[in-house]
Formats: sequence, structure tokens, C-alpha cells
Amino acid sequence: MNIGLFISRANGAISQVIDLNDLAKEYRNLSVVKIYDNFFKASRDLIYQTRLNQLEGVVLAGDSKMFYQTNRSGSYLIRLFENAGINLNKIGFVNLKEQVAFPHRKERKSAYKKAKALINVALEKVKLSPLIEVLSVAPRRQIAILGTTVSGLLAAQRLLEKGYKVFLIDRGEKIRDLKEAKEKVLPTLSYIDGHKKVEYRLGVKVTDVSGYAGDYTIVLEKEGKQEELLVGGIILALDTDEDASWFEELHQFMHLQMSDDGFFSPLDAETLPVQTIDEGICLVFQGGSQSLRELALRADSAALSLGNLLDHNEIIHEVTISRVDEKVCGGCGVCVKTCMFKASSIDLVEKHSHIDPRRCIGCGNCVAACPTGARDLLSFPSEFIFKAIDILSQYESPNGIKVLTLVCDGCGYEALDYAGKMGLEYSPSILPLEVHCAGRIDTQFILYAFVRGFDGVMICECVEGRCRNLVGNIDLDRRANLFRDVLRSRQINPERLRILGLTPCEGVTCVNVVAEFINELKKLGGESSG
Amino acid sequence: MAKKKVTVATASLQSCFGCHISFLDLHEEVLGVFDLIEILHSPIMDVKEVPQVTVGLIEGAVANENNLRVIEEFRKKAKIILAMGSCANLGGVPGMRNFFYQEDVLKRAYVETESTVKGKIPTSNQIPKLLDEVKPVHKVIKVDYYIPGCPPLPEMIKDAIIALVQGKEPEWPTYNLCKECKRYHTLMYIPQREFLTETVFSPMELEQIDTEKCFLEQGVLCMGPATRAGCHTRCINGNIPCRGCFGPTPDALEQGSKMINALSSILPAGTLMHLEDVVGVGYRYSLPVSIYPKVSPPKGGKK
Repeated sequence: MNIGLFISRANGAISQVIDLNDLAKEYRNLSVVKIYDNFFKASRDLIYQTRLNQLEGVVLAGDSKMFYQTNRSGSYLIRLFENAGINLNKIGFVNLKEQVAFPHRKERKSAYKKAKALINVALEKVKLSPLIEVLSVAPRRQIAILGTTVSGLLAAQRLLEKGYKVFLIDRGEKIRDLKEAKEKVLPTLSYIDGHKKVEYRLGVKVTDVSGYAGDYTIVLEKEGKQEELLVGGIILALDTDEDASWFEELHQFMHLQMSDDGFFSPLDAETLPVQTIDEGICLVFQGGSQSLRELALRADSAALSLGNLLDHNEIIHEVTISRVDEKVCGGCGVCVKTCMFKASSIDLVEKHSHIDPRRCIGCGNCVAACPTGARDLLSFPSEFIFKAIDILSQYESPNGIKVLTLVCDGCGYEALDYAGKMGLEYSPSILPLEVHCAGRIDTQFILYAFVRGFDGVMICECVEGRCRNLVGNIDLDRRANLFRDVLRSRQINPERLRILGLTPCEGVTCVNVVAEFINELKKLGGESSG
Repeated sequence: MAKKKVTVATASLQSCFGCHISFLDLHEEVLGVFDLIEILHSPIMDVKEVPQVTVGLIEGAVANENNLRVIEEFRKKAKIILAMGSCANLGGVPGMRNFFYQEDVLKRAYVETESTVKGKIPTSNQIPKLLDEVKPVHKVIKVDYYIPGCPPLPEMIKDAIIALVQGKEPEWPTYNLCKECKRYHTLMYIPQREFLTETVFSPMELEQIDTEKCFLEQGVLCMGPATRAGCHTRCINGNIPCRGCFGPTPDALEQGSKMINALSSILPAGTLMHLEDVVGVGYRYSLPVSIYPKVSPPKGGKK
């Protein structure tokens, strides 16, 4: 397989700590290895190299993986690679900046070794991940707006002007009281009222949302009657002062990142304040001390964002979901009970399980739960995780202690990034391995880590109620608690398994716990060495 | 002239002879098998040397130095090694010794048993030494084919032998036991995040177990989901939950942790925590093939 390794100096932040020239030399057997000051200025050359060397996979060693998700220049770069023929699953990320160079500034030797181990892991991910399928969806030119708040109405008006059909949905029987904004928003309201392409659904309960950008199904309930709305995009125009309970309800089937205050959080509060990880869902919350002008600007932003998306003739949707090996699945139904999103069902004739791609969000909880191993997650295949544990176990730690840190990319990964950005230093004994969600952690991984000689395993999961996959953290806790007995049975002190609940900004907590855990492991000594 | 028969030697390592008995449980059908094969060496025959044979049929786990000697000789003398039963394939029940340090095992057996007075651990070199770790046969020598089960069904042994005689490979199902199981479900297939029952029972705690309903739905631990099929649910037909003797499916690395992963989302986790021996449930037959097949080396290397 032709794999290219591209290394970024991150404008010096990484090259100050790690000798990248030496590092690059270790990968001469790859199709291409190149070092850049900064990927985002070099996108042309990156794509040129990709095409020239007919690459099938690339590894980007530099910034945090999060940067490519939450920053437009990052996601644009990924889009360019995809256009150049690289499957999304064949792009590997190595976080050399936030998770190696920043926290290990003073331990250059270890930083170098850790960088190498992490690059090896990413290369393996590119090799072992299956190609992700893409689905093409013709987007519906209909948008649902939840909440008849001022911001909701402003967004509705803009979308109607753009020619979209709009459903205005609210729990109350009437359009909300616009309060002090009433006088100014009244013309907007009469514009909407008189428009042919608007429909109201008031006094309804939203009972389900499924699908993806361009093609959602929203189920509404009123007086025992159900209605299905088919829309291309959704705007959440909730009031953060009045709608706390509605947020909780919606969180049951809208799987967006939650912020610390219990509301959905945007991709980036400053630069992408209305966009979410789901392209087709925008946030125009009101509440607190926002001025009418701010609300109007948000409405503009949401209308622009959804308008741009749904103006396309087709939207490409990547299916990152789990898959079933039908030769091994016997249809026991554990996945049906595990799935929070009703994506699993059993084919009663063939007696094996089936996955609904419209509902599966690829959290991986069923993969961990499946007692036969018939399920696998396309974006984080089990084979890769075992291999990654293998590779990381070969790292030589300066203090002799190695801790495998399985991080959920919704909290632990970001917390480690945050710690790095804050300039906090921690021991290079910590070897992070991203696993997408705590619910994807199969206890087999933990056992494997111990047999491969790790002194401890730390798992960073989201704090209660904050898992975007709803129950990943709860299920991990249950599994891990039962699993401690298995560790005891092998005479491994269960204290060697540490589970840490985190929010993305708890870098300090994370670093403190890491230090404490390593001290405890030192005291426990080498009683477990596989 | 009668066709030349395929020559077979059998051995029993650390085991209960159950697989040999299961073979004899073919009853009159065993005569048909003997038309095809000739057994030249077996623990129930008085033949000291293992002759050159085509098939070496091995029952039992490798647990002491004599077992090692036997299988090494079998590997030299037999063209095809067929590992028979859970002990040979998974380590089986004798494999549970791997939960303990050898010193503790010997002390328990020879000194601490309730009926022992002034016991001592034998030191004679006439007795083969225990190995530190019980292993399945394939971890010591190359095994060509295997028959799962504790014991394997008589027909499975017959089928495997006939397949080999005909130059074919014995094949076994890869899916889990639930596919073979005929019991009905009411809750298991309903996509609702609720535990199946309020509590977990051991089979003897229940006055009655529904003979047609899934065990898990009655709060009884059944290893079926984490166990490969092939036994035609013989225990389940007798209203006894599966104990996992066929071992993990080919896609799972081991049974114990996989079963814990699964149970955590279907039965009340709080009650499971108070189970006497959740480890024993998961690893009854398969500890020696687990990812972590024995106790970790003790601190300081002693014991």
C-alpha cells in the first residue's frame, strides 16, 4: 500500500522539541515522507505529492486531530485529500503538537520516541482500516426549526426568502411571547405568517430524530397522533433560560456534543458559533444577555450555512458505522439491547443482526458488547486497536512505567490537547490511544494491555450525562466494574485500571490524575508484568 | 480384499477420559468407524511404544512433563494431529489451575485438604512434575484439526474421523449458540435500554425454570451468546444453561471478557457485581486460551 507521511513543524512548535529530520529518516521505506512548516499553507504540495506518488493513504503528523474537525482550514484540507482519491478512513492523524511537543518540552528523547510510537500507530490505522463507503443523498429543500423564539423566527424568514420550505415547531400551543423584541420582530412575523412555504406544528412533542445531513426524519406527536416530517436540515432555536428540559429530551435522539452547562455546543464558539458536528444541524440559541442584533447575525449565519449545504445537488455521507460478520453472528440480541439509537435489529429468518445506517452513529458500543466479536467498527477496527496496543507497548519509557491511556475523542483527547496548550507538562509514560468513545472499549483491550506489559491502563470518559453517545460512559463503568474481578483473578491489582470522568476543558484535572496515578503505579511496583 | 484401514493412535493427557467415552458412546455405530480405522495405540490398550500412524487423536490439556513427552512423541509419529475436546483445544477444566500459583495448588491438594492428616507434597522424581501453566495442545505442538466440546458429541468425533479418512477437513459452525437455540424471546429483540430482569439467579435458586424461554430473560446466566455453536444445545434442552464448553467464536479472542461486556448491558449490573464467581462463569473452559492465560508473575519472582 502506498502511504505518505507528512510531518508539520507547526511553525516551529514541534521542531523545537523533536528532531523531525531524524524522525523522517526512519520512514524512508514509505512512498513519500516530507516535512512542512505548516500544512495549511502547503496544501497544494500535499495534494501534488499525493497524486504524484499515487498514495492510497496519508498520515498527517502535526496538529491535533480535533483541528481538522473544528477548524475550516483543517476540514478543507481533508476534503482536498478526499478529492485526490484518499478514503477518509485512510487518513491518519498524529498529534505531535499538543500531545507530544508541548507536554514533553524538557524530555526531548522521550518526546522523540513517543512521536515515533504514535506515528507507527497511525500508519497501522491507515493499513488496517477498511474503506468507508459513501452514500449520496439528494438533499431535501425543507428545514425544521425547533423553537418559535426570536432567533428561530429570524432564521425562518431568511430561509423562506432563500426559497426553502420551513416547519416551525414548538412545544407550546402558540408562538412564543417575543417580549421586548416584539415591536421590531413583528414585521418578520407577519412576513412568515403570510408566506406560502411555512407550516406550523405547535403543541407537539418531538419523539424521534433520525437520518443525516440532507435527509432527516423527525417524528412529532400530538394528542396521541404521530406525524413524520422529512427535512434536509434542522435549526435548534431554543431558549437557554426556558428550555432546559427540552434540551434533555432532545439529547435522547440528537447526538451532539454537550457543553459544560448542559446545552449542545457549537464547533467553535468564536469562529463557528452556529455549526455543529452534524453538518445539517445548526444552533441559534437565545438567552442570557444577547442583543437582538446578535440573534439576527446568528440567524444569518445558520441560514447561510444550511442554505449552502442544501443548495448542493447531492451530499456525500460517509458511513462510519459498525458492521456485522454474518458467519459469526448468531442473533443473540445483545446488540439490540445495547444500542441506544435503535439501530440494531435481528433478522429473525436468518438469525443474525442487522444495522440501520440511518440510525447508527458509529459509537461502537455494540462492538464492545457483542459476545461473539462479529461486530466491528469501521472507523476503529478491533484489529487495529490490538495492533496499536502492541506498538505502544514497545515504547521505552524513561522511568520504566508505561500507562496506556484510552481516550474518548469527545473529552479525554480534548482535555489532553487543552493541557498541552496550557503549557502543562506531564510524564511521557502516558501513551494516548484514541478510541472514539468509552463505550467502544472492549475489556479485551485492557487485558491485552496488561499482557503486553503495561503497568497501568487509564481510561478517560465523559462525565455523567455528557456522553454524546448517551451511554458510552455508563456502559464502560459497568463493564469495568465487573472486569475488576477478572484482573484480580490474574493477580493484577485492580487499582492499575483507572477510569477518569472528564469534560474537554479539564486539562488540569487530567494532568493531576496522571501524576497521581503514575506515583501509585510506582508504589505498586512491577508485580504485574504479563 | 478389504481396503487398507487408516491407522490411529489416541492419547489422554490431563483430562477425564470423557472424550474417549464419548467416542464409545457411538454405540453400534462405532463398528462402522472401525471398518475405516484401526487403532494401534491407546490408553486402554497395552502398547508401550507409539507406532507410526496417520492420525494422532489427543484428548486433554498439557499440564505436566509427561504430557509434554507424550505429545512430542505423537507429533513425531502421527501425520495428522487431531485435538479432541475442550481440554485439548482450550485447556478446559484442568486449565482453571492457571488461576493459582503452582505452590498453592500443591499445598491445597496434598496438605490443606480437609481429609488430610500430616500431608506433604511428594518430591519423588517418579512423578511427573507439574508445569507452571496448563496449556492447550496447540500452544505446544502444531495441531492440524480439532473437535470442540466437553465432551464433543459422539457424532462429531465420527464426522471428524470420516472427513479425514475421505481426505476432507472437519468443519464446525462459526456462529454462536443462540443461532441453534430454539428458546423464545420476549425482551431480547426489543430495542429498549432496559435490563432484562431485576435480578440474577443461579439455576438452583429458582423453583422452576421455563423450558422454552431464553435463560437470560429469566435472569439465569447462560454462556450461549459467547460460545460457538455445534452442540445442538444439549444442555439447554435439558434445561441447564450453557456453560461455554465449545469455547469462543473465531472472531472473539476470548470468552470471559466478552461475556462481561455483553452481560453489562443486558442484566442488572449491580447484581452481577455480587455474583459469587463471575470469573469462573466466563473462563470455566477457556482460561488457558485467554488473552491473559494465567496469574501474573508474583512480585519479586518468588512463589
